[in-house]
Amino acid sequence: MKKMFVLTLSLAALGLLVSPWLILRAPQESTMGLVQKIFYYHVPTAMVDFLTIYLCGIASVAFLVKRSPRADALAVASAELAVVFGACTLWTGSMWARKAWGVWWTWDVRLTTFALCEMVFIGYLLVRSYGGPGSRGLAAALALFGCADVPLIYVSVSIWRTMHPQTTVVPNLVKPMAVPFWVAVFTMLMLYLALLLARLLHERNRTRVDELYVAAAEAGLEE
Amino acid sequence: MLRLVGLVLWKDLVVEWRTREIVSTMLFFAVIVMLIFSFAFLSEGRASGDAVAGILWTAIAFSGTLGLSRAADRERDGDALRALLLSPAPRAALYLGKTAGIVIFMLATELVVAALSTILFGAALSAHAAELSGLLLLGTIGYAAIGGLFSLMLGRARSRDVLLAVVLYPIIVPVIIAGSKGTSSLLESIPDLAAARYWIKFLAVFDIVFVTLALWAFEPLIVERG
Amino acid sequence: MSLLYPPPEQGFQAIQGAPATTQESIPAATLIASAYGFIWLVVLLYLLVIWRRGQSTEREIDELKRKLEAARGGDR
Repeated sequence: MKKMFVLTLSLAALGLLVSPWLILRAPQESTMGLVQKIFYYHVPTAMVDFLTIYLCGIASVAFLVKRSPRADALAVASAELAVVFGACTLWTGSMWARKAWGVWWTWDVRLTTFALCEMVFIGYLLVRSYGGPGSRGLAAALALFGCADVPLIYVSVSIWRTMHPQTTVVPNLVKPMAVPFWVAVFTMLMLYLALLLARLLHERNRTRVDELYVAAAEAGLEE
Repeated sequence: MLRLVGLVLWKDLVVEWRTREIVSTMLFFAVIVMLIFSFAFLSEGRASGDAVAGILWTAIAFSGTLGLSRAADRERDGDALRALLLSPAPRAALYLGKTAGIVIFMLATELVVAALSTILFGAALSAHAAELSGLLLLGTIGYAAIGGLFSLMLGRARSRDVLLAVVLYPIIVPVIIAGSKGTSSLLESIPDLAAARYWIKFLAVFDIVFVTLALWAFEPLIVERG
Repeated sequence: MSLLYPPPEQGFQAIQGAPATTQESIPAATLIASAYGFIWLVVLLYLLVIWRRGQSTEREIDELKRKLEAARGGDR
């Protein structure tokens, strides 16, 4: 795992160095001008956030079914990153919205759904910290319910006007814009994997500590 | 199994009938919430359909958490839950029985609160009682299905009341949206029945999804909490 | 039955009723810097937190190992 971490971190660092340069050189979008360049990081963080939310959901189901500590480690790591990348998406989106729409926030479908997902996973972390015994299970159920809820939240909120650009933007990107975009996607993905691995390595250390405590207790050592 | 569900439900109802603790506190809290929101949002004259619907469903959402906490506490006191779990009863029956009890308590509260809205705000809620009942019933089932599971799982955690609100509210947002939008469409000058029926179907889908998930999750969760 | 009740609008729609231009307009460059800066900041903070927790965990491991070794050595 450590080797993967070094690899992904290096690739992420490379991407973080290369992508701003590529983004600056990309042609400016006609209607929104300079501020549209936020899109190159905003959409990738949203994509990664979506990925990590569902990874957490899957890991949570695995934990509920098999009680595996590795599934639990993956669940908590991906939940933390869901909060991190969610915050990045919401912030960058807000910066973009300020210029594009003149407001910091609006109750558009995607924004609202995103904000609620962020709250679900902040709740996840709160439950794990303060939920007492059995909180791992409750958090897992919360993650599962949150993931199942996303389409329902989306549909119910969509009754209100949507002003967010529709998803058809990405497949229709012109070549000079597509390159920096996909480089940014790759960068975010590597960054995400690097952080996830770092967190999992830490979790592995924590498990080691627990094992040592058990061994110490068996050896009759005082705390 | 159905008999067991009935037994669990009957036990809860009997206890509640004797003490009347849950419904009375829920009702009082719901009314207070309604009054506070009225002071905050309404000025002279009649309230708009949107405002009344919103106030109604907010009162339900908030008082529901109270009821859920109290109901979960009852199981905790005297370790009743552990005793029930030791019995060879199918776990699903326990969950369904408890949830049914919570639904009944909430519906009792909602009935009074809706009647109160009619009086306080002059809202024509009784005009389309069938649709309103559909919204309230299905909304309550969805709310209680998720809330019942979460409140039982929070167990002895110190901040369990706050945590219940923290974890429950984001998940039941679609219920609140559907309920309040459905209700407000009934309160418009020309009631939009099509919209109300759409929201009823939406709530039915929500309920099916989450009752299924909760039933599935109950077994592994209750074993862990134990 | 269509799942989305009134069909969603297509295309990019500007928000209605918002101020057309705000008096004090924030320059685009500031917003971009703030956006990218936020990402950098949050990611670095997260790495820092993991690293610090990792350090304290490693200290715990070393200490426990030491104690175990001492106990096992003493038993012989």
